[in-house]
Amino acid sequence: MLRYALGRVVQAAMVLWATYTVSFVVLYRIPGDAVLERTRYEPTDITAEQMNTLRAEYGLDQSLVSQYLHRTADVLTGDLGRSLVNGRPVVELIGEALPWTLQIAGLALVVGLFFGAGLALLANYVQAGWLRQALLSLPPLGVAVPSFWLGLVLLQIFSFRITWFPATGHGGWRTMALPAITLAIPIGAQIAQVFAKSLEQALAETYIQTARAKGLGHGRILVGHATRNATLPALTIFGLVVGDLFAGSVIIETVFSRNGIGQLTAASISAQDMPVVQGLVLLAAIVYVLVNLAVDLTYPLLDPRVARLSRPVPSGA
Amino acid sequence: MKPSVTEQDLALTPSPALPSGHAGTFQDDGAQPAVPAAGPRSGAPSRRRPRREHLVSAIRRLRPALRQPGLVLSVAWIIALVLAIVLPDVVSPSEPTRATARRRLAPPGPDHLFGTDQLGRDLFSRMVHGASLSLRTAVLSVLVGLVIGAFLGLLAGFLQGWVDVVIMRVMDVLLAVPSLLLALTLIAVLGGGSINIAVAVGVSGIAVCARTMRAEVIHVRQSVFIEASFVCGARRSAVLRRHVLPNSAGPVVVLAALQFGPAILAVSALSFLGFGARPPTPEWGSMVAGGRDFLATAWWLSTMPGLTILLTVLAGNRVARALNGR
Repeated sequence: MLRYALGRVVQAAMVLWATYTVSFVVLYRIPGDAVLERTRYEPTDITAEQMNTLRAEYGLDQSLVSQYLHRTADVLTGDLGRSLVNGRPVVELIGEALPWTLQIAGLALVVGLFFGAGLALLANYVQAGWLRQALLSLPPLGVAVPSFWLGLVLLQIFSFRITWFPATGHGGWRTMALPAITLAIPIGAQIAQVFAKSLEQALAETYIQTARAKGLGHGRILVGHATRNATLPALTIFGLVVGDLFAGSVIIETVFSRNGIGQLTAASISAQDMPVVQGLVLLAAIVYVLVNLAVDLTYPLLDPRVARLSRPVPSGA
Repeated sequence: MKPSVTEQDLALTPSPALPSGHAGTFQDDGAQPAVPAAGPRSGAPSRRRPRREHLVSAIRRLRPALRQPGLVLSVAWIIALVLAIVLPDVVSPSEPTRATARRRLAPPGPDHLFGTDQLGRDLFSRMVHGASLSLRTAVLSVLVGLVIGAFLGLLAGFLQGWVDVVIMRVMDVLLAVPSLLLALTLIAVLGGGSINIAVAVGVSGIAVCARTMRAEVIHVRQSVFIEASFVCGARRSAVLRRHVLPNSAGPVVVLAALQFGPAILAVSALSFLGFGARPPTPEWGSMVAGGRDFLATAWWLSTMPGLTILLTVLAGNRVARALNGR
């Protein structure tokens, strides 16, 4: 078990380091000169001498390797550099934006999990074939709907036709409802698809037959026997779901004009503000890696067979 | 792109039929079918039959498909889209960029099927013309992911060793960043525009394609006929090209088909965010964005293109699932 956990932690750290390195190479070398980039936002009467001073300040006059080492040392001490647009520390910008996004994303995750898992359980509980088909046809719809349009439709109906919720704003649960629902639908649909499938597979196992032969009711078998076994394969998509929350917040924060990580992402991409972009990429990677690590470490608790293998299996495979 | 479901699905599909029990007979396997024959097999005609009989057997073969109305509708929708791409001027009633001041923000009706926008341009015509750009971008992005991913997966699975380790660790990085954020990051580097969007979305599809391909190649590599080719003295490149590639391409091609729907979503989301084609050019995602300012007054401006995207993704996913054998 310890060996398994240690292997997972090392692997997670490797992925993080690789992500940092790749993003450094892609974001800092290909776009050219960060000083020229910055001068786009400032008066253009900057002298060559001042430019060289700026270059020295950013460390751009050094070799790539030395830049990489310097920046890595900074990053390890929690300094992600400053925004090229307004000169504020990247960590500060992200720290300000994060709570807004966490509110919505957390609410969306709860809603999506509740309705997604509920739909999967219900579809496997009902006996009528047509009802089951109808329930199972909902998740493909939820996965296919463009969330930017879904947000607009919800706005149209619930803010303009019947004025239940305000269209924009930041105060209270009423402003959070529509964005959270928009974000929750694709996520809930994905959870429902995977969970319904793994429930179906679990219900086909022989231990379910045994339980049925012992005289257990349909509901007891579903909740007591199938659900726990079906949770395991469904857990693997958790990392992807969290990634979708991150990506989805870019869209819903644009649609609903809210502050947050998504808004920061869209703005920094438009402005080619590379330090902020790299900070956001690192944040996403950290979240993904931590979630997957948590899932991997929960695995053996749910299924002791995983720990007995002791050899780490490639994640997601 | 959402590989989770597809990856799991793929794991359940049978891998391409491999010749087993051919250990003693060294036959040329170059003619192996790359994809297992899908669908019900009707009795193969051994002699020439009258035309009418052919027709009857063709209808009989189609019947199981007709029992799935969703699939039929999806194929019909995709055919309609192809028509819109090939003959946009025939399908659409007017030019997509022609503005008529008198008919601004007209609701959907007999004159304008989907209504008009704030400049009096016919929305239906704009959507027909936009289909080409939206769908070509999505297809291009899937191809980018398929070709690069399959190539890397082939190398990783066939060569193994350090090549495998390096390629798959880079794929881990691609997987660690959410696909939309990855695409946005690449757009920050490359700049906007539909080609760059296609590349950016395509890159986020590389990792899943490479993983699927690698798994399949490793599986095929262990078969007896590969061993036999090596024993016969075939060069590695020849074995790779003639035996490994055709026998392992099936699942990754199905995966690419499954990625078409998500690719449309990603492409139109990026256009919605304003990184796509420049304003006068019609494109579905940016048309939804264009309707944002008229939500209260002209619902059709964002609803029509949004619905079209939804139907296209649904149809694409349904057809891809059928290709996947369900």
